[in-house]
Amino acid sequence: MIINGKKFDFEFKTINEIIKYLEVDPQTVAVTIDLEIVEPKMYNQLLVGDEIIEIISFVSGG
Amino acid sequence: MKINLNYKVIEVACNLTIRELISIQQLLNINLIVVNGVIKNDDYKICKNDDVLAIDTRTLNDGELIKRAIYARNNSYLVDRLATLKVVVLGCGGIGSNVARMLVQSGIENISLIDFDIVDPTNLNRQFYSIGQIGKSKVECLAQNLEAINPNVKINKYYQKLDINNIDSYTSGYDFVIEAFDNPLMKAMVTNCIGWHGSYLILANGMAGIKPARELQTKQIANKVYMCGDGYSSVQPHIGLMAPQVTLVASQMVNKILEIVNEQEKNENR
Repeated sequence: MIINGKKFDFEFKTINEIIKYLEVDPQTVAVTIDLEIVEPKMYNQLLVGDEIIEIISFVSGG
Repeated sequence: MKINLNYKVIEVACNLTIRELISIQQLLNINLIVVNGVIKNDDYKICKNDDVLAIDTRTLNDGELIKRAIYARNNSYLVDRLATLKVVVLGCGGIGSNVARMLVQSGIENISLIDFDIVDPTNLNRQFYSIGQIGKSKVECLAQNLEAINPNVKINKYYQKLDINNIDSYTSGYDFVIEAFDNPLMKAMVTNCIGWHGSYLILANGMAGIKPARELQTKQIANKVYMCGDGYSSVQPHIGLMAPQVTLVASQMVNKILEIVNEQEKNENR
């Protein structure tokens, strides 16, 4: 599983687990799997294990 | 041979200079000559299919000619296409106001602005407003400022706060959606609600402080979704939002739109 460009040997079962591990605020993130936006209601669905995942944390400023 | 003179196709003799063309066409007091987007002198020899703008800038009153003159230095083959694009700007602050300005300057004439805020003095360090506009609605002031650049521009103004319940109705039907909010909760909400809807979505993320411009990037994060900025620099005590970084990110966002449109145009003409 590749998360934010880094290969992880241990596997996360869900996106929620990744968000918790990264200690990011789930309210200020967007998640993509293989270049597709994942709807937040799907964050508890089981991951296959070979996905390329990006957790995008948004910061203030605009 | 055929050329385009002041947005009209005409037939002219070969080897004609601009000076001779001006004389034949009885154009008076010409003080600006642009050929194919490049300023020329009147001794330039015209070639087949040249796009010639020859005007007296002091007496310009033809609306279409004014529009052509404004965009004479842009990529000429994109002018008509850009004029038909529909873009919505979500938030009219540092990113949104500068994006909207550059959209108009690029030739995009159908722009919707959404913001519920008013102009305050702390906005003037980076946003496209002036001191006389303090206390007034940002969407109203920005529309005025944009119309001052190009009076032909069509601005839809929405004095509105967006949320999960109304964002769909305010963002559907556009070619491009610009996310220009200050608040990370709003940025995430926009991405999660409409990032998979079909319009191109261009996001801003990370522009606080001072750093080398090379750290600001445009990254594709999903199909038709792009994010501009460094991705991490947030507003903090003593680390503020300054015009150069904010404007650089706004420029990246408009540049991405132009890149996409340019690529579409090339593909259609292959």
